[in-house]
Amino acid sequence: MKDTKQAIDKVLAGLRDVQTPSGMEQRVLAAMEERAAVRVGWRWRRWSFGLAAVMLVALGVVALRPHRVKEDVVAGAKPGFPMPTSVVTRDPRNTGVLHSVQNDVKSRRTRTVVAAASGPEEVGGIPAPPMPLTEQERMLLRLAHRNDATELTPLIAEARAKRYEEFDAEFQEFFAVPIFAIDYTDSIEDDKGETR
Amino acid sequence: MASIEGSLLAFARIETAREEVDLAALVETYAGLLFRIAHSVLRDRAEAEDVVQDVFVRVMQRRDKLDEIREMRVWLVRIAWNLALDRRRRVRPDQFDIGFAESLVGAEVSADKAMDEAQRMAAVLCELERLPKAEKHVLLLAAVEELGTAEMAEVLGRSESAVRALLFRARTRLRKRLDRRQK
Repeated sequence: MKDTKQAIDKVLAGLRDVQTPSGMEQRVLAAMEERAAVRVGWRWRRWSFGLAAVMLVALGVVALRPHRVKEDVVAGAKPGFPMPTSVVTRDPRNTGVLHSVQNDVKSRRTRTVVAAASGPEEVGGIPAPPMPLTEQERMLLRLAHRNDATELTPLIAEARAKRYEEFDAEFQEFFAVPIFAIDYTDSIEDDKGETR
Repeated sequence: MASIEGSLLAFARIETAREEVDLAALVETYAGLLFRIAHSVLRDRAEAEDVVQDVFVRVMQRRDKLDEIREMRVWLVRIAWNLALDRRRRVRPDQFDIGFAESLVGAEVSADKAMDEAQRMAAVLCELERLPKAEKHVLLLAAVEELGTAEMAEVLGRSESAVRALLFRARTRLRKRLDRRQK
């Protein structure tokens, strides 16, 4: 009984009095420093990735900003003034030629922006009907289509053929042989005899 | 760009250095206790040291929450205790027990007597392992003699009275079983 108690006490004392391995603290600290260095590396990389992402976003914003400003200008050019779906503009590359924006690719985006800006007017995906033209736009249209008939004539085959026929007829009429022939013989005899 | 990287790196180093100071203080203060706690479960010095390293790695991972911990000592002991129990499940502890039993025998006794003594120590450790889990845990924690009853109760998640009762029962049961074994 006493031996048993002594044996138990000896085992428990052995567990209590166990010596810490020499240099354990240094080894633990070294292992932690190693891990911390790895973590610092990862943290630095994370910061770098974050910074790069922010710069990319900033570049993207700068690159997209001019388009957005243009759209904003179109959409909000005249608040309260309805933007017509058919706008006549002057092409800066081809001075003097007027054309309708309706047929222009760029105008599609303009109309989209206008439609989006009009918002409530578009119900159930059905676009709002075109707005009436303003007085200035009507004047521009009249100016653009003033000589349409004259300008289009050379392009129409029938009209062109008719014009040619008329021209040909005039030519023939002018240079055609006269119905009565001119008598040159009398004039020759007069020259020879000098009688007349 | 290089200056920004340099600043970030310097900032990270300063922060890391501050953390290392705190962690170094923790290591200096608690490494010995944690080693003895882990050793009481594993009975192997190398394994116990690995557990201590694991404990401080966990601490480093949760360094931002260290301020919220009320009882640092109990928290660390609990981590070490759980890690040691987990490690004991994975390794073969019988070999460790034999080695530890032999280490308990004094060098001044003869070889025959030393062998008998080592066998007795190994028997005690064997019976200790066969105790009910709660009793065994209380006995091992109490063996370190550095934790009060309240701290042991907090580590094991029991009341102080339960810890006292378990400790008494563990000693009694262990003694009885060893007596029975000798007969």
